Amino acid sequence: MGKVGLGFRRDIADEFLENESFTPDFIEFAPENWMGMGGYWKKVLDKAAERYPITCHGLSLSIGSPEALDYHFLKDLKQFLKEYQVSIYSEHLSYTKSKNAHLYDLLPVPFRDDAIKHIVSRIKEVQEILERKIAIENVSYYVTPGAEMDEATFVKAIVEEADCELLLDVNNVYVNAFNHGYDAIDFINKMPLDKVSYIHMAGHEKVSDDLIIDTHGQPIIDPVYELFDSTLRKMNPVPVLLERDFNFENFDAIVEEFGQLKSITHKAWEVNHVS
Amino acid sequence: MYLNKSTIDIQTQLASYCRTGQEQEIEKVSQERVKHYRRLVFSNVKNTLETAYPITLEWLSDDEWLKLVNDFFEMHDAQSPKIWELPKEFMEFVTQNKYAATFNKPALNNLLLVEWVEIEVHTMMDKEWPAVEARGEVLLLTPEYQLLHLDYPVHIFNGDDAQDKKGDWFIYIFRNRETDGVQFLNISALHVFVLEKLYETPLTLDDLLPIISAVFGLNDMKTLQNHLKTFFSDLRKKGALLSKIA
Ligand SMILES: [Fe+2]
Repeated sequence: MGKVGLGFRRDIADEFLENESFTPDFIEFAPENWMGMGGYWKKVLDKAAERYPITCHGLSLSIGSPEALDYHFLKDLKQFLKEYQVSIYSEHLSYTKSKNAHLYDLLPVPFRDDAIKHIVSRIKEVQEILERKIAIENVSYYVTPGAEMDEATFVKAIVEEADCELLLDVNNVYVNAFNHGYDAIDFINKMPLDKVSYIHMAGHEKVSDDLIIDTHGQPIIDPVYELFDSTLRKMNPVPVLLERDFNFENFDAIVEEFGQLKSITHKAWEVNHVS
Repeated sequence: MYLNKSTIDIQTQLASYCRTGQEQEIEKVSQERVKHYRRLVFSNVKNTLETAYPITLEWLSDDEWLKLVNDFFEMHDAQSPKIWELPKEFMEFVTQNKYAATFNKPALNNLLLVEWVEIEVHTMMDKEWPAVEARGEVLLLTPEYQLLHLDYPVHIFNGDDAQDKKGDWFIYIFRNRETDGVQFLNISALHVFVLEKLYETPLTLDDLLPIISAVFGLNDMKTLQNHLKTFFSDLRKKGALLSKIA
């Protein structure tokens, strides 16, 4: 119950393989950053895979793109997920490819009915090809191109109609609520919490009075811990991941943050599931 | 296709703004905030290329480098779903579009190639060891490698100095099986021939000698044998030759 993991990255690979005082319950990485690679990094990955269960968080599927899915990539991905016995494969509810070009970042999809239908059909297709359910993540976004509905309506409709799982990123909920002026708890309450199979937690950076950027480079702030705590009490236990993409100098602080997540998780879910 | 044209247009406009940085009206998009997308998307690509090409980055002026990155991201449709493979597309783009001539830096293509191939050899999928007949002392080379033929010795000299030394330069780039590190070896045309032969079929030194002697018209077998022994013992020391020398 209450498994907590940390994102596996090259900069901190040693901490996962050699630091005896730090043992996450599982690790997560982007398949795109390791697929089709041999040599030194393959050995490092294989060592980590021997030691930890794995979840994968994709970057390039581009589920929200107008263009066709990349079937060649999906075939390689399927093989990779199988080879590393990946328990959860998640992707972002966004697009990163346009007009046959990758942009390698997450752009917000218009919150519209036609986009819901389009994305639902693509998730179904991906699930059929991969022969598994995928978890779709609520992303942070700073603009709302062509929006005709709110985010909660959009996300909920997609998860329910596609019959996929939801990766609930609690920090993203906080960031989006702040940036777009909605209530974070209200958003969580609107989510199909029975579909949540995975949770993300992370830090962010406030760049101006009215804008937070989701950087994954800072410590988690208290209000996000509070939102996390209250969310856990509304749902069944699922794995929780601490996302940290840079600023690893003070690794002890990250270990501490990790411990904090573990303790909140245990408290929330022990109380709820004693019977 | 469920998407309406207007939704597709909005998505295309946002992506194209991120690639070009040229502002345009997009429905319900704040001009102030959308700038962060261009900044984040562009710096991600720029950082990836700067990590892949540290020597090129240092050699070119800031303006030249920025022009390459900007032109590439704007004009080239990135194909690989893996961002770590993007530098290869960058090298091909710069070469095909003749920036070496534009900047009057003829060694540019060679430098990008060498920097990319170092990454390629480091990351290439592990290869099977060649099947070898169990006879004699076969010369078995590490299977992850590349042989390059350059016009400028950018693997030895800095860009400016390399440009004064136009010629035929050969490099053997290989992955050491034990350390997984990548090594460069400046070699001769004869060595290239030897390595190519051995990568076709692993041979013994005795098999190899008559072939080399015929192709290069070298009749002093003793000298040739000594020369090759020295070459192979160097390869053995550096981790390229996996078998012992006969
Ligand atoms: Fe996330």
